[in-house]
Amino acid sequence: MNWLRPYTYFSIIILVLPVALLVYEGFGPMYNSGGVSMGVLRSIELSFAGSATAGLVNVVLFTPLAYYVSRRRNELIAALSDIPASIPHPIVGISLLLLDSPITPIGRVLLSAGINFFDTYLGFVSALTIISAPIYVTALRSYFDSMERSAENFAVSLGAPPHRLFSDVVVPNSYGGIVNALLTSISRALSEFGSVAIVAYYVLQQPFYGVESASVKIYELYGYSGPSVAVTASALMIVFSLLLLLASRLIKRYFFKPIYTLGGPS
Amino acid sequence: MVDGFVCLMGKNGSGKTTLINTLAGFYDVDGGSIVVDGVDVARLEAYRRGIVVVNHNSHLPNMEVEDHLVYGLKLKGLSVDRAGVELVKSSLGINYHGKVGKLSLGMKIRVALATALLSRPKAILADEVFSSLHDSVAVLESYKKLSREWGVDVLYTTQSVDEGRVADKLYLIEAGTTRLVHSND
Repeated sequence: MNWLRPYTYFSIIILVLPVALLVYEGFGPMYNSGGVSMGVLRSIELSFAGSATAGLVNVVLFTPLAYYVSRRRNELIAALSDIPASIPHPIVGISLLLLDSPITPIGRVLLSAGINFFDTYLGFVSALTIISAPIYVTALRSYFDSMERSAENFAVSLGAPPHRLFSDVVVPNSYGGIVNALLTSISRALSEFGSVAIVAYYVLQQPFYGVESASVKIYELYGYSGPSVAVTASALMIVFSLLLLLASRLIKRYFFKPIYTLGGPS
Repeated sequence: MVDGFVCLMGKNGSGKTTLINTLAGFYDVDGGSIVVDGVDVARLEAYRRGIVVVNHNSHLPNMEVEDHLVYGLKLKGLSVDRAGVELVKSSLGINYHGKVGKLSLGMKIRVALATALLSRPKAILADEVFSSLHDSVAVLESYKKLSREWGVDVLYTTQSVDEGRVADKLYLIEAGTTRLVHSND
C-alpha cells in the first residue's frame, strides 16, 4: 500500500493544478479589473440563480423517478433518464428550441400559452434542468440503493400504500441524500455552456435583462476582450463555485447526519 | 398455522426469515396460497395483507416515539385509543421519548412491537427480536397477554428454548418444512 498515498496525491494534483494555476494567475500576474466587472458579477448571479432553480425543479420532478428506478431496478427507465447526459449539450439546446417552436404542434401549444424558451429565464432554467437531471437521478438513485429497506417494509406491512410510503418514510429519511444530489446537480448546472448558448445566450427578462450566464460570459470575454480578462473572470467564478462546494460540505456534515444508528444496548 | 401465540424455532439458514418475508408479501411467490382469516392473500400487495413484520430494523427512524406508536392506526384511519396506547407502553416498558432512529436497539424493538400491536393487524410476524431484549421472556409473556386480549395472532421466531416455551404452539423448521412439536391445546 506504500505506493497508494503518493499515487493519490499525484492524481489530485492532475485534477487541481489547472484550476489552482488559473486562480493564481487570475488574481495575481494576469489580474484584469475587467474580469471582476459588474457585468461578470451579474452573469455569476444569473448562473447561480438559474442553477439553484433548476436544482429545486430536479428535486420536485425527479425524486420519485430516482426512487422508482432504484426499487424496481428498471434499467430501461434509467437509460432513458440518462439520455440528456449522453448527447452533446448543444443538441439539447436545439431540441428545446424545436420543442418550443411554431413549426411543431407542441411548440404552437406552448407558445399560445405564453411559454417561450428563447432568450428567457424559463428557457435558461429548462436547459439547466434537463442537463443536470441525469446527474441528480444518478446521485439519488445511488443513495436509495444503499438505503436500508427494513423501514419501508415495516411501513408497508403496517398498511402504508405507495404514496404514503414515499411521503411519510422515504422522503423524510432521505433528506441527506436529496440535498447531496441537489448540490451535485447545481454544481453541474453551473458549468453548463452548450445548451445555454443555444437556448438563452442572453436572458432578456427582468431582473436579468441582457445578462449572459457565467460560462457564456467568460467565453465571450475570451473572444472579445482577451485572455487576461477571461482568466480573472474565470478565477472569480471558481471562487464562488468553491464557496458552494464548501457550503455543501458543511451542510451535509452538520445538518444531515444520518439518523440510522447501529443499535446498542437493549 | 399462525393461530394464537405461535413460536417457530430453527437453526440459522433453516428458512424462518424467508417464510416470514414470503407471508408478508416481500417476496414474490410462484404458487400456493397464504390464507388469513379464510382469505387467500398471496396475490395481494403487502400493504393490504394486514400482516405486520417486526425485525431488528423495523422502525421509522424519522418519527418521534409517540407518532410512531400510532402510525399504523392512522394509516387505517382509526381513532387513537389513548388508554390502549398507555397500556401497551407500560406493558412493554416504553417510558422514553425522542426520535426512534436515535434509540438503542432494544428500545427500537419495543417501539416496533408496540406499533405493530396498536395497528390492529390480523397477524404479527416477529423475526428473532425478543432475543435482543434483556427481559425477553417477561416481554413475551406481556406480548402474549396483550395480543390475546386484542385478538391478534402472533408468530415469533427464536433459537432460545426459554422463549419458545411461552408460545401456545411450538413449531420446528428444518430444511424448509415445519413440524408441530408442542401445543397447549
